[in-house]
Amino acid sequence: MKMYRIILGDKGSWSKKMRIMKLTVILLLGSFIAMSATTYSQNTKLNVSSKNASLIDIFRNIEDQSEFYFYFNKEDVKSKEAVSVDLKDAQINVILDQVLSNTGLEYKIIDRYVVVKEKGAPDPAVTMQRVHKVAGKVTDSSGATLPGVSVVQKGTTNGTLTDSNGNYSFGSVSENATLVFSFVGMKSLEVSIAGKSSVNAVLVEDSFGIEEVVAIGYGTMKKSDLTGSVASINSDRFQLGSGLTPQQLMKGSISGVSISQNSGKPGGSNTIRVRGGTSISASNEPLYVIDGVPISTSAGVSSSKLSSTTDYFDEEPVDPLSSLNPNDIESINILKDASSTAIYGSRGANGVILITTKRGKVGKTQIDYNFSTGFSTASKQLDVLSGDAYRSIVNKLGLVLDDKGDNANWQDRIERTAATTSNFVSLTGGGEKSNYRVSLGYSDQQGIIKGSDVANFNSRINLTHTELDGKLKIDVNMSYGQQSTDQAPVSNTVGSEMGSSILYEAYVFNPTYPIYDAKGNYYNVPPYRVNPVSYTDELLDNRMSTKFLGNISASYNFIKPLTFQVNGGYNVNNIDRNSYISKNNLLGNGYNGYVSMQKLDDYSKLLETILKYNQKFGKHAIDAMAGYSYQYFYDEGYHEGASGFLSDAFKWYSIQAATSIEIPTSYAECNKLISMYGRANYNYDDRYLVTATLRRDGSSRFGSDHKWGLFPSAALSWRISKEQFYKSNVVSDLKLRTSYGVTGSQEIGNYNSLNTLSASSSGYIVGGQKITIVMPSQYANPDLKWEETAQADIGVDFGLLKDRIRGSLDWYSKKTSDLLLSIDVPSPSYISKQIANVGSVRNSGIELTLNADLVRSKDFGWTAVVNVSHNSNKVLSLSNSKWVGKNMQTAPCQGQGLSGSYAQLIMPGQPLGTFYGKLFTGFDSNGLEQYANNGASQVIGCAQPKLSYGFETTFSYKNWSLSMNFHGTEGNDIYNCTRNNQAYLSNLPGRNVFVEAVTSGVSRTQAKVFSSRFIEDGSFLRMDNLTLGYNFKTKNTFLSNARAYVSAQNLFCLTGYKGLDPEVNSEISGTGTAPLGIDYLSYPKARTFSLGINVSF
Amino acid sequence: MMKMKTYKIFIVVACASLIGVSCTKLDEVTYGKLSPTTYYQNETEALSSVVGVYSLMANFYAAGGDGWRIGEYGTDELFCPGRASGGWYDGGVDQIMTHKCTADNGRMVTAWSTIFQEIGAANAVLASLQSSPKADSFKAMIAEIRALRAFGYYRAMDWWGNVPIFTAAKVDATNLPKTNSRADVYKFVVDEFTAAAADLPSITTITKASYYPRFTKETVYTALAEVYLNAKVYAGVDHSSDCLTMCNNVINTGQYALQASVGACFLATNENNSEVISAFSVDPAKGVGGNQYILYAQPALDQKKYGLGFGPANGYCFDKTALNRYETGDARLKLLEYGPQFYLDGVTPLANTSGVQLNLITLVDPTRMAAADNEGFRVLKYSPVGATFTSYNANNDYIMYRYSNVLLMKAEALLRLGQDASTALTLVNQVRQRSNCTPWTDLSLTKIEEERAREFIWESSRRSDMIRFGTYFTNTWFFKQNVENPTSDGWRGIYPIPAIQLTNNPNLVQNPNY
Repeated sequence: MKMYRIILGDKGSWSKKMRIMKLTVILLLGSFIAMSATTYSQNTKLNVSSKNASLIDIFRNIEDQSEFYFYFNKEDVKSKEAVSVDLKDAQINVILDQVLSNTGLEYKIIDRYVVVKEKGAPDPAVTMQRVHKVAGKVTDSSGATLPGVSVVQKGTTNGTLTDSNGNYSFGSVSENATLVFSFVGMKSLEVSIAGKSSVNAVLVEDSFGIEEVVAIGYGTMKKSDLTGSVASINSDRFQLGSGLTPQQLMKGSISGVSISQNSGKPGGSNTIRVRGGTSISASNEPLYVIDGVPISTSAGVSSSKLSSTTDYFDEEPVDPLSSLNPNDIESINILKDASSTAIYGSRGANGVILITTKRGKVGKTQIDYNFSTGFSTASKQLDVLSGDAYRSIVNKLGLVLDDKGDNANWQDRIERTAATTSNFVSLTGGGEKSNYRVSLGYSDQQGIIKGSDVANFNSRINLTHTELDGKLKIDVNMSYGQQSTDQAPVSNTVGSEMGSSILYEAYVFNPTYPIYDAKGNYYNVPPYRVNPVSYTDELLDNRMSTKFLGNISASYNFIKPLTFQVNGGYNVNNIDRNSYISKNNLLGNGYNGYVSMQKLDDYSKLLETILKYNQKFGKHAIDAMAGYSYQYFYDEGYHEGASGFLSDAFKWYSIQAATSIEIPTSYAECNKLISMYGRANYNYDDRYLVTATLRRDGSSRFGSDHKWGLFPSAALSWRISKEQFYKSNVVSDLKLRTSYGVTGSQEIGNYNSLNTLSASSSGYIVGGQKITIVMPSQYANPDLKWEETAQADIGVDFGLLKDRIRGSLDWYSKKTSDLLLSIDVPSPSYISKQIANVGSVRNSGIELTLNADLVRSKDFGWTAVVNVSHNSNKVLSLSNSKWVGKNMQTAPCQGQGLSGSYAQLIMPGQPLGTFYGKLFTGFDSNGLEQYANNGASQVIGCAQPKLSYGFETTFSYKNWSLSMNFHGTEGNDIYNCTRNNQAYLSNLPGRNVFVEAVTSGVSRTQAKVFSSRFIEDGSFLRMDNLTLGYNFKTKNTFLSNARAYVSAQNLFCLTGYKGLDPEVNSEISGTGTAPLGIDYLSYPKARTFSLGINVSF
Repeated sequence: MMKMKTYKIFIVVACASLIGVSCTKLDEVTYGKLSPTTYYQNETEALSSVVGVYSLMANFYAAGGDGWRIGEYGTDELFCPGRASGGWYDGGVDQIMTHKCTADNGRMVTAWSTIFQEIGAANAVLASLQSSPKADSFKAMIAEIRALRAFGYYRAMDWWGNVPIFTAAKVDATNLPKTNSRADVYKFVVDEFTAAAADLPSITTITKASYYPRFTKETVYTALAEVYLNAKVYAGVDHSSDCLTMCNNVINTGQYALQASVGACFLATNENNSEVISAFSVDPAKGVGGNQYILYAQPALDQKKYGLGFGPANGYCFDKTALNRYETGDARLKLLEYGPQFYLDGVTPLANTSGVQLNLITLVDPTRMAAADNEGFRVLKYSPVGATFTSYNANNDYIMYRYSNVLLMKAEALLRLGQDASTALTLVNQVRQRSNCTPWTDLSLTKIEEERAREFIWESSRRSDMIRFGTYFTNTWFFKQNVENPTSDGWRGIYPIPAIQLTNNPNLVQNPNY
């Protein structure tokens, strides 16, 4: 009986509304008023019995048992005395006649509406409209019904939602009303009723919607109004498959943004570069902002290693997004140019990645369940000598062979087919004022190297609540994630011989050895050759990382154009890392069981207040904001080592069982960032758009002479296609953009500007007593400040053929000055490195993105997205008036016989990642390496690609869909350091070699040398993802949506590169930022096949 | 109405909280870090940094440290061959062993940083102590730091010759240190040692039990004796008489005496040993350093022999050249491992799992890529017997100067001065007879050189000895069979300045011929 009643709402707000409206009541008069009104009022029998009740209570009583609605001036009614009434089965006029008899009030019944007013007062009706019933069905362009579509009478809050069959109905709307149909992912549709009682609507997808709203930092903006360069990707374009991280969802999909997995390790990190790297020594990672909260990626937990006397456990950082479940992400927006990033001031120089999570929506409760499972295998193995080939070459060289008769490939022995499963469930719903989304996800992923796996648990609650007719809006987001990894010790950070890594041992270990000796123990070759398989169960490296992120934001539109917003955020990260080397393992030689325990904690708190102004004056529109923010970061760590265990059972669970406990170490650090910022957007007639941004940042990290930095930017765009004179059917939309601005990078570490002394973990014994050692830890640099990037961008956004093809083309140039360099302090100095602002780097490039909606018919659809970018990087200077930076050697060569050499040189005039060394020209007749120019070092390659590209396409036919993602690079070089270690016969017989060592003709007396022989072309084309999906028909089932898919990740990679994979960034200790294009003992990349099901009900 | 009020209150509270925390102060909170301008208020605080410099200097003597290694590589008594079984081998050591060292050599790089980090630390601590309001009470400690710094410069002068003398707390990047000549550095070292000796306490005035192992006057006198003895090499001037004076300064205290055996100086209980003039403390159980000689040098089977918790890495060794110097019955042979090996009982053969007894032979293949595990003889001065191990770290203190060195230096100085031959002979025989060697009836420089080689094998003295006596250039041995032109190779007496240092500081000048 009750229709969806927005008209009255709850009684309280209705009365209030009445007061505000000062009795300006909109009465709805039906066309068949005479009949229906009399019929209803005559046929409806009411029971009213109350003593000394207020008139309002009696009216409510009547409303509750009927469809009558009362309209009255609260002040009129409230002042009347209480009345008593007791009537059964009475008509409404009988009741009202009695109740109002002595009140001086009169009433009037119009259909179901009862107006009560002072006798003789003028009729309250201002607009007399006709009551009208309307119903209909909402479908999409394919004819499928759409449940949950919001249908609202335009200009009112009167609305409803379609049911599970796509049907809606209104009991009363005015007959000339316009209905607005809206649904997520669809273009809103307005339909005038024009007297009809049946109105059906067909919604079309908003796939390349120009009206798409994108996050821009401290707000959102219509995509068509953007003046800066912002790339966005929504969840519908995310790649599907098992074990994907948030970064991989968008891999290859965005021009100018390169995303590469640092290794194939499960739970491993990614390297992300937006428009090339700006920094040499400091971080090049973009700023991540999750639902408005900037996340620190530089705190201790991101590196996960504090200190240890053992080098066996690697230092790969924890993924800052590891607690985010891909299924929770609604959209990812990447701010690229200075106009967009300037609002993040001293943290904007490397680009900003804004992640928005999915929220609840009005409508009935929906449960989504996603399941996927898959398996992975190593996509490639290295060509190491087999046992037989090894035997043959060792004998041929006349060397002593310790032959145990086997014919092994140790890579097979440490690798496996790895299984992955993931489960995700979410609950979404909401009413007119509040909505919610709650989700839980759990996934389990094995690594393709035995002994490595990762388990992820994520939970999230997002709530939105509005009050005061939507003027007050409160958003609450909370997420908690836990990532537990078991890592096969694949440390590639070890330059010395002892305890290299499972992969190194798998490549060098004697292939004539079986895994176990006669007694069932692992075969080893003391002192240094550790059985590779023993790593998988005798070395444990467990890392538990937990992340909590919560924020509450309240915005209050207290007076029409002004909104005040307060945002509080809190982010906590912890890492517990426990490692153990078994008593028996050769790696723990002398330790008799070694435990390393470390705990790293960090937290940050954020408080922001923002005042927003949004007003239109005719063709002018202004959207402006000003804000203040305070963010505090704290991190601390603790490490303890222990050795000498009676039994392997104790481990870190009972370190009191150790006979020797190392001196524990701990640290704590904090920093503050205080900012004021403002942005104004001016829009004239949607043709001319201007944005100006200013941010002032102060950080405790900056030196005393530069505590505050100012970061301005401005942008201008012209929507040519909106001009009167513009006439083109081919180019349906055309916008020119240009921007210029200054941003910074403040990842300079804490306390680097101060002169400090610190306690050392060792001490010294004098007279039998231990004395604590306190030594200088940092030299003061009061000049220390942020790196500054000035960037210019010119872009054009266009739509072709009625926007069937949309695209953007951008040119940019950015110059980073005051580069933070970790300068070698010339000797003699106790402190060997000092951070200073020296030098400059330029990045410039072109980016093109094309989105094409190629075929859009009832049964068949075909879309494609292509992006291509070119970035050129050049170091301009490494000196300034105060500091003299020299050409800097980076990327130290790793491995036996190569230490002391460096693969890259940073020098003015060349790009970062320039390989510098001897140019190899071939072998002489004795099998000795020959080099050009008498072996003088020269530029022999560059790790930066000339071109990066991505391509994705989706075909859909009826219920089927097929999507493919590719990406690749052209013109980049890689230093194959693994090969440099193993392409020499001098390894024999103690270490196995690559087949190349035998076939290349190299002499056994040739020592290992870093040269261009090991610089390889790293160009590649990879098929990242292939997914075939099927949407089940769910009509007349309890399901509202069901989808199944099969997908393959990394199906193939076309490349001439000889290493395991051309996408590689080996973390090498002591280099700060990982140098680009170095491949040393990288964890193999996986090829994964998955099956997934998504259902909603 | 109530709800309306609630929202208002909420907004008001939100704004108020905002004003409360709103601030623009950016003071740094430096958890657990001290400021050099406010620290150093008493002797305990000053000592905490002085010992930091000692700890850095101890690295010169650590087995794996390049400070020690490059003082021995290149001589006829320390080699580290590659092992056929795939054992430990550091790139670059072959260059040093074969006298073909280049400026890119990785061992040079780390040796240079070891030395100059110690010098830099001494500079920084010295400046802080001198500028402390309590500087007057730090007089002896200031002398200690100057001696420690002079010792660093002494090593740098010995190995690289022409190095920058720099004494300020911090290098100014716009005014980089400049190379000084070896003679200048020599003068600086002598002056600094001399000044430090004046303020340091003598062995005769301190309480050994509470002062050990800090420097005394006598430590510096011994160092000066050594510097003067080599003055001809460093500065082209003979200072044998000054050497003699310094030796007498030490001997005349009457506080030092030879132990019954050389080995006694290297035991885990070597603290306050009467033959030890200077040492560096090691106590891994307390987290202070670790003596790893046994890990680096010994064959893996020594694990069984000494009941070690780890298998030694079979690295450093020497060959017949050094072994053949010893006469039968020389007690110092007991510190060496050669020939068939036995358990500590001396009769049970030390055999592998196949029952084959370990028989250490001389090095066979000069291409050194694939030495068998039993090639090469070993030195085991820092005995594991009686030592406490924390993993592979033993607690034997590192020895810097022994009294026998003073005796042999005095004998050599007398011989070079042509004075008091009988005293010289007595001093040398004192050292020889302690090790059951036949007393000599006459002396020569060659005899003294050989006696020093026997006495101080692997004590980081051989390189400067061979250079002083000239044999570094004229002799040939296992890894140094083919010297291109022995007489012109004098420039090999100093090492190349590491290329990276020349890059960092263009004011430095590379040594001749590199």
